[in-house]
Amino acid sequence: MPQLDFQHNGLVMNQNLIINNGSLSFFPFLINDSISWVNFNVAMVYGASGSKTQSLSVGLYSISGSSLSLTNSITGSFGITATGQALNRFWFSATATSATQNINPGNWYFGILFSTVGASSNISFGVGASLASAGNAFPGGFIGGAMTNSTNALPSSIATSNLNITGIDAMFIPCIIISA
Amino acid sequence: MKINIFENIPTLNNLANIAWVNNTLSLVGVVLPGTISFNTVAMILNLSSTNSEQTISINFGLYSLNGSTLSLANSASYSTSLSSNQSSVGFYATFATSATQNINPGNWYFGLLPTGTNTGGAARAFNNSRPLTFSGGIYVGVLVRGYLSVSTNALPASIATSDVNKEGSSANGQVYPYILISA
Repeated sequence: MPQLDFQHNGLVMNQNLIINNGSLSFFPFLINDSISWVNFNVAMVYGASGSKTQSLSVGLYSISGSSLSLTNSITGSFGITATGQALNRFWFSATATSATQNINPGNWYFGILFSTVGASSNISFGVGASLASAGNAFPGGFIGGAMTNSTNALPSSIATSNLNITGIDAMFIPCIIISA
Repeated sequence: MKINIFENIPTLNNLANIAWVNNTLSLVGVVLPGTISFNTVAMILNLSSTNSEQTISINFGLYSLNGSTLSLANSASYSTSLSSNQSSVGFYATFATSATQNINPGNWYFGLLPTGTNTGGAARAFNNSRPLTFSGGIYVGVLVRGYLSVSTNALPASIATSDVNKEGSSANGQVYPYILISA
């Protein structure tokens, strides 16, 4: 397979899930072949509840055993005005990785941290399929999870045992596009 | 690695009907994980006709991207007609492929172009899993999904990506259907 220009995780978007300010969630992401990581996009929905600036910090994490390690990151922000922007879907984008990187094929994880300045957040991830979820934890390898406490920075490493891995709030997967 | 089936949307996800816009070419970027023979192209359609007989035609184009130009590599087509007052029926529509091809792994684009008569109030829909409006802002980077900014009645041999409206720019024309290719 040649070098990829883009990779996404299915782009099935028919549900929304509210995001809490300061929440950090980890999502599995399969890379089919090498890709030079420049751009990051995640499907979102906002409501016009007041002017705000929504910031996004995204970490690319690898996993070794039960530990996630930060290998790269990217940041972006989006201004939302109080009027003229009704509930709408959009691509929240970021374009500046902290370092040039060719991501190798395989299983990776994106850690996404949101912070809001301004009116209270009324922003959601655009997620796929239904929001049905299992009531127990997946018994196999790590397939995503969320920090239980809020944070203001991406951790350089985190043990998967410190993440909540049960229920839809921890296990949902947003629609993501990365590209060269 | 040889694969036998590729779906751009897993069928385990919810699929919903979305009416298409005739002569609007939708483009869907995919990542093929392995080599697949371009033998069978199928979609799930849901068609109905309320007043008069209708002709339904859909062209499928397989496009590759080189720089900022999409080039048509292969195609397939489907056509049928509906009698007046035909009720809605969901079914797999199988396309006739124009030439056998081994599609190599990597990034490709599926182009879907519905054409045909549009009189008599026929309701026609692809099966799609994104029924909500998506018009608040486009993604950055290389083209992944979008639709041609001008109407057309035939698959273009090449398309400049600057002529494609990326997903998120407008709710109009955003139909990105379920497509299945099998060897």
